[in-house]
Amino acid sequence: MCGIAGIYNPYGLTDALRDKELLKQMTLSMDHRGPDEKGVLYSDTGYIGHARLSIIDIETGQQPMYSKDYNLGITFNGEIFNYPELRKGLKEKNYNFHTTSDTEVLLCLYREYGIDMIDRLNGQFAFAIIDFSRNKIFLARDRVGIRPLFYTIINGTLIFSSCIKTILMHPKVDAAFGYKAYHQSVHIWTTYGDETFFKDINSIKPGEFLEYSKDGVSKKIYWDLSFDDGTQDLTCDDWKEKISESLNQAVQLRRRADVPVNAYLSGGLDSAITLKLIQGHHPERKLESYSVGFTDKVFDETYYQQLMNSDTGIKNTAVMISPKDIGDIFKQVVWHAEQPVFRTAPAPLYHLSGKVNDKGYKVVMTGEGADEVAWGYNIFKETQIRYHMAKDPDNQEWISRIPSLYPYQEQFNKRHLHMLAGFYKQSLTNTDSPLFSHSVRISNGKRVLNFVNPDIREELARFDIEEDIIPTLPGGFCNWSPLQKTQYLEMKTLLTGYLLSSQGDRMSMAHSVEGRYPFLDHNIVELFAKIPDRLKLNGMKEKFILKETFRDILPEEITDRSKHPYRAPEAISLLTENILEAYLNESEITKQNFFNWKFVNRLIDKLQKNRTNVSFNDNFTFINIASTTMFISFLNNEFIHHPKYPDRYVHETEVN
Amino acid sequence: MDIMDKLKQGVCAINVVIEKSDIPTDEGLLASGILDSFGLIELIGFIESEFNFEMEDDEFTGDNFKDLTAVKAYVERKIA
Repeated sequence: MCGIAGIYNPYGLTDALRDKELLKQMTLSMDHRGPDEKGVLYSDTGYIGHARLSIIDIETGQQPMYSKDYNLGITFNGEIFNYPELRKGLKEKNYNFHTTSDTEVLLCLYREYGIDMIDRLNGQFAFAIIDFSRNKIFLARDRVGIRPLFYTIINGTLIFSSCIKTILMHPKVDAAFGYKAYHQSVHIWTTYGDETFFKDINSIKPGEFLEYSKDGVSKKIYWDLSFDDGTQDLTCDDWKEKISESLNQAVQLRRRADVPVNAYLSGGLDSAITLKLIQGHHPERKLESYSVGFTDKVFDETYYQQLMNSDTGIKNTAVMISPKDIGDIFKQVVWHAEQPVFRTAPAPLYHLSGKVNDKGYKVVMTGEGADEVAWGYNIFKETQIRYHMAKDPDNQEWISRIPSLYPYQEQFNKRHLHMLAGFYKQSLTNTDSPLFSHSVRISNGKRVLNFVNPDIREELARFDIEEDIIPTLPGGFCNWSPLQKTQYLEMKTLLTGYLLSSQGDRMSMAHSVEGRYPFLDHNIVELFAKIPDRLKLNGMKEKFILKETFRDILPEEITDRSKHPYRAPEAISLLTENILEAYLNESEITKQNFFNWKFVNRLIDKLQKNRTNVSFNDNFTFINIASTTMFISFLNNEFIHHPKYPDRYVHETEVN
Repeated sequence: MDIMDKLKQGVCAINVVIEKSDIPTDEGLLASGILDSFGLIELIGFIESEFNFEMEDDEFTGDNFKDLTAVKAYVERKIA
């Protein structure tokens, strides 16, 4: 994991001299992503910069990398896990290598296959390749959006980076609030597609590449999750064999590094599987795990983490988090996330990556992605229940399952079955909608708009979440099963827009730690897409075939544990003197003119009177208000006022 | 303050963006969006505390909690 940045114009850079120093400063600003080395490459049409976190080929893998033979330059953030195999294939075609890096493999692959080489990559990446001979640049991002890549084009000049704040360093780029992004985020919890919270600054979408030349800009999606090929009717044992083989392969690939690779351990099934598989490949190699614990026992999973430590003998380092620990660094969360958040859950992970960094490590493997591909989330069960209730609204068998959906929410209790049934029956009117699985979320999220001032609400009313999403859905979407549609939407929204970004990459890279995700290996994603629905959600048993595959190597308490989603203390963590004095007060809220102070104040009062029993919606609303207020404040301050970054050695390459 | 006034006060304490004068008495509490599912639980807590009785599990029905008029009638029966 590193940081990349660049300024490019196929007609030549208009402010070449200024942009040289600017690009250097942009590169230095990403020190948290790449503290080990810095480099810049200058040419007539483009400057690219790289802040390196050295993981593969420490000695000779410096970037940006320039190939004089092929007249190509690259700045690359990420890892290509199958690079040894790709390198072997290129050597057979008489390519010579000067380094042992995956970066050089990318350049040679591009030389051989053009941008179509991207289909051959198994990795997590965001890169820019300048093809000087053809006077064009390619920006590309991995299939599911593990690594970030943002860009804007102003007067023909493309400016891109891993961090939006870095793009904002360019004097021609304004920091303006993205209302469309906000509208999306209150409905689906995240931005969608190429939208960001900064107007006119876009994201390269997962599975997309962008080409920019004198012919203009063209974008193409090279990979997307699909269920068009249908599912295969294999036996359970056949699937278990395939899953075991593929996941072992995915873990093995992700162990490739010239530095130690450790693991995060949550106490849940997915990270337990990852830990066992890592250990299984090299039992003699020292492996450590890192966990988050909570002083509030409602959120704490220490028991299960210790269970896995006893089972594996692996040393675990736990970071204990209190609500104060969350509130104290919440500003940093928003600063790194570069968007408002709807949960405080990123904050403990910020602390955790700090601990990993303190211990001198750079890489961790984690279980993210399993709940999406193997159907672990409660939204899958919820969709299943709602789908069956839509056919028969008074079906007691399905109604009786509602309380099990969110047992940590007080209202999801058998006592309240009648009320819950009534609540869900209301949501059954749009069963034909492509967004059916997410309609409860969309409906609940709208409540926060009641806190927004009327003129802002009017601005937001221009947008329509269905119009944002539905036209982008693949042609075959309407033929997929309800749960396949649920997975697709969840991967496009929560996974990409929040879990891998605000909670994932941004929190780990804040302390120069790279996360690796075996469950998001595209071979794993594609394999699970072929598995029949009933083997993923079996009745109400989530991740059924995944559990069955690894039942023999895991403690029974881990496999049989019901889904405990990772959560952290929420609104109460942000009811701190610092946050209230700096952001959630009449002066700041009125000055910003975004939220209605009268209602915000009432919500603060309500939460202060009852800190222990807070509804999901109140938590969501309050965290949204707090983080959005911080974000808007940063737009006028922290995001645009950059210090002169310390003059660290920056390696320079000139291309003539 | 009569029972309906107190109920409306309770609703305002739960849904902080609604004004007392805007609370309908004959519209479904969930259907109108005045309260969400957790809000109904909060309303029960409020009623029990304000009117000093404990609700039985089987009293939490669609009929008793259909709208504020129904809730008022339920409370009146309980405190009579």
